[in-house]
Amino acid sequence: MPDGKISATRDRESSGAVAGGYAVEVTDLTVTYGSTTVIDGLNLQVPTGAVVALTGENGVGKSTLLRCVTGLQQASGGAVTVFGEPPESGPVFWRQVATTVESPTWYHGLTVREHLDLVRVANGEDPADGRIDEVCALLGITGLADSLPITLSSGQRQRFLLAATFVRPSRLLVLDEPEQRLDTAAKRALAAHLRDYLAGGGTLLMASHDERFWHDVGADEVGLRRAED
Amino acid sequence: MTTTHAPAHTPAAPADVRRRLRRMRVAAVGRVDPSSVYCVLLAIVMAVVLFGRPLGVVVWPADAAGLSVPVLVGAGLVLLAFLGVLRRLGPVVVSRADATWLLPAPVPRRTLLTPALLLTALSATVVGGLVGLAVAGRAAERPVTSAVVVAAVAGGATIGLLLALLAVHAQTRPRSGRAVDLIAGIAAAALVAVAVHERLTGGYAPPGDVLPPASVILVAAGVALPLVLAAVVSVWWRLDSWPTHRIAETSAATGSYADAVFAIEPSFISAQSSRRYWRHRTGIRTSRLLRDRRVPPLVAQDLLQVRRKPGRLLWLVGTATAPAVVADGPVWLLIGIVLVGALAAASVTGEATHSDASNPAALRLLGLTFRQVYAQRLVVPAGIAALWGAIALGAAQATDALSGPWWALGLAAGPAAAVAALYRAKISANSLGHIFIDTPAGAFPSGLLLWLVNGVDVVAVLGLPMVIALVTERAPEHLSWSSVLVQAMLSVAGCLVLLLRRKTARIVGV
Repeated sequence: MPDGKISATRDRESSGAVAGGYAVEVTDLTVTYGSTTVIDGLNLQVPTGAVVALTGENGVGKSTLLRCVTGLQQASGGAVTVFGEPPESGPVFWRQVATTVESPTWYHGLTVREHLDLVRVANGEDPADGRIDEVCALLGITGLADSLPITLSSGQRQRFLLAATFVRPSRLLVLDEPEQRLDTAAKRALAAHLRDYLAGGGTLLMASHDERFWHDVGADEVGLRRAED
Repeated sequence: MTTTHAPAHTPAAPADVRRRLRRMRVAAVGRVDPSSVYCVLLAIVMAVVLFGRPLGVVVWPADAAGLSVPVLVGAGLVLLAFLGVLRRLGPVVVSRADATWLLPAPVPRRTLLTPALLLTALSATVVGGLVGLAVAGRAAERPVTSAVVVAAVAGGATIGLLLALLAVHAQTRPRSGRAVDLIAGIAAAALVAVAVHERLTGGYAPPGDVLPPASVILVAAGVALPLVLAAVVSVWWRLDSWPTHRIAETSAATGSYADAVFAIEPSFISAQSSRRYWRHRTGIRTSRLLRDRRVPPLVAQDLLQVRRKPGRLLWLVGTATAPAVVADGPVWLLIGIVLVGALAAASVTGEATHSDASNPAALRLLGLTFRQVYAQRLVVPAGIAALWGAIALGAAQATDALSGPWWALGLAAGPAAAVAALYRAKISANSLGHIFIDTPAGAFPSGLLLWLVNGVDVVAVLGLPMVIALVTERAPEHLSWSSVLVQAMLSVAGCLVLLLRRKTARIVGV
């Protein structure tokens, strides 16, 4: 980031913005891969309850930034805090943050529904309270309950992974191109669900290439550019 | 801009394709030069000089000891293992590059697949012939007539080719393939059971006429072999109509095996095999076990895994009889079989741990710490390994080679094996070590060697009371309950060390 100071998002009147503190604060973040600098001195602040869409061409560092926010990647310089604390690998952090930044994974031998039950039970929630049915209906995967994830198409797998992320409680969602591989109707349903999540007090940081989608979600755009531009 | 043309009405001529393939291969790897041929021939000659005599004795011993149950069981198991290898490898496959570039192209399928079919038929002939010869070498009175040798080789080769045809048939029909795998597994278990029964009843010779006379075998093989060869030719003729997806799928699997060999990373093979199994697994209905929350979630997951792979349990029951077979043999063999067997039993549910270790994304979604994961993932493996140990040492006890509460010792060693299996599941060969060991044949990464013993070392340490008992307390000595108690305490200690490390309570993952 040559200007180095992409600062915050627009204040969101409805969210109470900074009054609730920052869900994510990135200060002077620098990430290099070998001799290539991908992110150079980036500043970003995401108020609690806000929704931010990172945009920009391939390779500008959107996924890298999301990985740094979730603590899955060590930055070369600068600092990241999530709800005032540095991202860490402990259960306290991962019970607040849900992400689809990592490469998708699942357990062989468990059906789609059993995965969702597992996520719900492991997070101390009731798998029979209707939440799973609601999310499955929203994402159009109700009929896939008995399928094994390995047999799903790429679009169905994306819906399944989003469902697994949505059925667990979280305060911050970090999503990497959630609209990827989804058809138009599914994108609309996803946008509606994310709006509900925000209305319930959640915060959303995502990377997206679909302007209409992040407009539908009501996100503030933060455009990233190549470091050497 | 991409242009479009009408596709060619006639496929490329086979001769052109072969010429083109030859050119591509020469361009990629160069021509075969005389020094390479010399090196290969020299290696073959050296292998024959070094291993020819001991292997020759295995196939054709100096004296015929007479036909015995272990000989027939051994021959049957070798043939079933060969069938298993053919099923895993394809057997009719092309290289991954050919699968990508040539399989979807309008080139004759037969041209591409002939080498694989030939190799399959040739290896089946050699393996079958050698097995036939090995059986004849133990059964035939000396001096042996040439008719006996020819009958043995021809009979064995016919059986080998029949198995190859079976594997080829199963490759194109998944339902038949599953049936073949199931029947082969049952047959192997039955053979092991026969060997154990023979061992427990003090050994008996099979009836003298269990094998027909050489002249009958010769006539039968003389009739069957041409028919089988005709069937192979018929398969070759129909290669053009083979479905593309079957060849592509098996070629991808074989490519992964090649990757595993090339990268010396055996976990590639199990990962590929697992993906293949679950992709074709049908008839699964969502269970309420997780939803009902009667057991911890990862314990429920392991129970579902075990229930959905029942074949593995059959194998474990079969292997649990192995210690009884070798109970009178050298003690190191008995110890090795007990330790490795218990580790294998506890590894039945290791797939999920291995998957979490290579990508902990799912565990982050679950928000579970090391300690929670370990505590839950120890339960089912400990139970299975304990049952395996009880059956294995109980069966060995039934041969009178052991005396005392050995079944309880096996039971007590279960959790120790579960801890070892957890360590083993977490680690791949490449993550173990990149230190290269220099050998006369070139540098060799240490990871594979460490991977081979990984887990065995842990079970050997945590199972030390059992090992010591096997060395010092075999019949007529009576195993004391104090040994069982010490083993149980060490097993519990192993679990506690794993669970009570400070790091395990704080970090999400494995």
